[in-house]
Order: sequence, then structure tokens, then C-alpha cells
Amino acid sequence: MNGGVRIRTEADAETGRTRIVELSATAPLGVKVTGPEEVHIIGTAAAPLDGDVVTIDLEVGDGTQLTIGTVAATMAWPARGDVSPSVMIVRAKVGEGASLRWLPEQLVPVRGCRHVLRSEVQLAATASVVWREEVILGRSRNDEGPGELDAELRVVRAGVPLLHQQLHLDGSGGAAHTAASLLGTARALGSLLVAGPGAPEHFAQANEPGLRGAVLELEAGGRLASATAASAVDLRKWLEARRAGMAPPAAQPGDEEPPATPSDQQELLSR
Amino acid sequence: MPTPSDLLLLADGRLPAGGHAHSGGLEQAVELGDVRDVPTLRDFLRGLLRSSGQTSIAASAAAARAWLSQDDAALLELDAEESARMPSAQLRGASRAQGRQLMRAAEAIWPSPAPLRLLPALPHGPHLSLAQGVTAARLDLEPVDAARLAAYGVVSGPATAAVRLLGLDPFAVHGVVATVMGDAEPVIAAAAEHASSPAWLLPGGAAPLLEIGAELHRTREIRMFAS
Repeated sequence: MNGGVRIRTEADAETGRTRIVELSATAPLGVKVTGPEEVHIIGTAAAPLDGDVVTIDLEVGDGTQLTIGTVAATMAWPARGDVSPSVMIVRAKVGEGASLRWLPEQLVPVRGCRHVLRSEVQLAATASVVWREEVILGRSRNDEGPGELDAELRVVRAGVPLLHQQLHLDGSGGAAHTAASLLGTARALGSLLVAGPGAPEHFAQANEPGLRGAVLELEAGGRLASATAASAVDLRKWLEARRAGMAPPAAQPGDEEPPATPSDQQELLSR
Repeated sequence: MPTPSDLLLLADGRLPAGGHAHSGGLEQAVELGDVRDVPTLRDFLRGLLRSSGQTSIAASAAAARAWLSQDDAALLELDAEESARMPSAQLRGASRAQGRQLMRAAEAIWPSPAPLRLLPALPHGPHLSLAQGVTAARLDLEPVDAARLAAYGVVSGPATAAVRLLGLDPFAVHGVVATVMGDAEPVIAAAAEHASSPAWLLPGGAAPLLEIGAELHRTREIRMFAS
């Protein structure tokens, strides 16, 4: 199956507000608009399977904002034979003064899968991005290990490479990724990239049973919270705490909410 | 004509280029209890060859090729691409410090009439792999030699640190170095083969625990190695 999603935003000529001007999806993916500047991607079939090529194309126009989520974890299922891997390509282009939040659920390379993930993010000089990636190293059931995964994230700002991360899991169930320099005994790994003007200073480290993490300062600008964890829940909790500290206060649609009702005000006062 | 012994001199841990002050992330791995003995050391080193080490080896070969082609733009691109693959500021700092020291040492040991064109553009010094590649090329060595030099540094640096930190049997540790250098041969060959590829194609996977560990290491008060 070759399908995917295409989303494009533009600033409204009069109000300057974000308008989603293009929104299309073909199986195995669907889309649902969940807010003025927010879209969720839905898997409509058991995908990705081997041989599938799924493409997600995001174009965040100058001065606009877009948040993307997915409704469930992406399961990369076992290959059915000696065929090509399942491929997911994510291409994002973020314009001047624009902001993209890519906050999908986890990727689970199920034992026996062969999956390729290519993410390429192009930022204009004044663009902002929050980009989360989490990989669960196989289903927890039976403690099975992960399948074969070849994941790459490349982020470029105005032609300068900001971040280029590659993760290779050979799917053999052997010790290829368990080295102390790579992932050790972790069951999940993840990172959260925050880059763009106005991002507050934020440093954090964690070295606890079940979670290790640090906020890394990239040379060409931006910060990367990186962590390995014993569980998807611990990982998400830590990354979300980092997101709260690292991400610039966004001009959320919620900021324009009508004033609080009298009862709300009372509640505030009584605190 | 290259002098074959120049490669040995460059790879020697006793070369006064500051390499002895760095453990390649091993000290933190020992501190965290991740590397405890010879087998965990071997896995640690093999992990490096699949991640940051692979990048360094490829970048060293590519830098040698770029230097031979007098392609300064390619050298600067390689430097930026290596940084993009090294999110930890600690690791980048250690790499650049060692790169700077190697350039200085090489200049003193093998004075060259040609000024080192790379240095002015990189005020904090080139990444170690770039310095290795450029130095090897200046000595008429081939990109494959530059790749091997980088690989030997990736493997032998943490290994000798392990002897000091864990008191491991030096014979067993050097046995591991020999074995892992054997594993590195395909990586070295691939680095030489792709030495002319565009810089953005530099290989190398993430080493999350190495990167996180490097940041944890920075804040430790008592340590034997700078990185």
C-alpha cells in the first residue's frame, strides 16, 4: 500500500491566523482535525506492513502553527517473507516565523519486522519546531525484543544541519544494541528536539533506576532531551516534563479563549 | 611518498596530543556500572563502532580525501555534519579539544610549509576525526589510513582507560582491542570507499547512553578523565 497524508497551512490574509488549506489522506492513513491548528493522524489499516511506503508531507506556511499527533502507537508488524521493508517517510517544511509540533505516539518495531523511518525537517531561519520521537524496543509481552529498524531524523535550518540521528536495530535479538554505549537494558528510548527563537534555557539530567536522560545543547542551536527508560510511561513522563521546560510559550489557540465565567473566577479566588 | 611509520607514530597512544586525558565515555560507563569487565568492555567498543565511532572513522577518511582535493568547503561541511551527529556538547568539546591538540602536535612534529587552512575557520578547533584525516593526508597517507587511525583511536582509547579504571588484565584488554579492530575492518573499508561522498551522507547511529553519560560525567566532581 502506498499512501499517506499531506497537510499544508497558510496564514489568513486578513487575520493572520493559521488556516489549514490542504488536508488529504489516503489509506492506510486518515486524518482528523482536532483543533484550529491541530491534526491527528489515524491508522486506518494494519500498517505499516512490509512493502508499504507511507509518506507524510507537512508544510507549515510562514507565520502559521501546526500540531500533529497520532491517535495510537505505530506498530511496525513482522515481515511476511523476504520482501522489501515497510517504509515511512516524514517530510516537514516549516516557514519563517512558523511553528510545528510533531508529537506522535510511540513507534513499536515488533519482533520480526523490517521497518524504515526517514524524517526530514527543513526549518526556515526563524522557524520553530518541537519534535518528539519514541521507540519501544519490542512489545513488552514475553519480553520479546525489537524487530529490525532503520530510523533517521535529519533537521536542517536554512541549510545548516542541526541534528542528524540514526538508530539501527538489527532485529536479531542478539546484543547488537544492548551495549553500554548504545541502549543497555533500556526498553524504550526517545528524544525531544526543541529549536527556534524564544526557547527558554532548560537543563535537566536524570540517572535513576529505570531512566537515564539529559538535555543536550546542539551546536547549531536548539536542545535535545534524550532518554532511555525501562518503560514507555516513564519515558513519556520525563520527555513531557522537558517539553514543559524547553518549549517556548506558544501562542496557543487557548490564549484567545473567552474570559473566565464568574463561577470560574470564584473558584480561582477561593484557592 | 608516505613514510609508513608515520601512521604508527600518529596512532601511538604516547603521541603528545592529549589523547591520554580522554576515555571516550568509558569512565562514565564504569561509574554507572555499565562496563564492569572484559565482555562488557568488548560490547561497549563494538557499540561505538556502530555509532559515533563509525561517524568518526568515515569523517576521517572523508577529511583526508577533502584535504587531498584541496576542498576546504567539504572539510567545513564534514565538521558541521559531525556536530549534527554529536548532540552532546561534552562529546563535541572533547572531540574539538583533541582535534586542536593533534593539529598542534602534528605541526610541531612535522613542520609544514603550508599553513593549516582548516584552523582559522574553526575557532574551537576541528573535530578529532577531521584533524586525523587532515594530518594523515598531509603526511601523504591515504584515506584508508586515516580511517584506520580514527578506528584505532575509537577502540584503543577507552580500552586503555579500562585497564586504568577497572584494573583489568592488560593482556585480555589488548586481546579485545585486536578482536574489535578486526570487527572494524569493514567499517574502515566502507569509510575509504565512500570518502568522496557528500558530507551529509556520513553514517553513524546514535549512542544515547554515551551521549547522556557524557553529560552526567561533566557534573561529577572526582574523575580521572576529561571525557
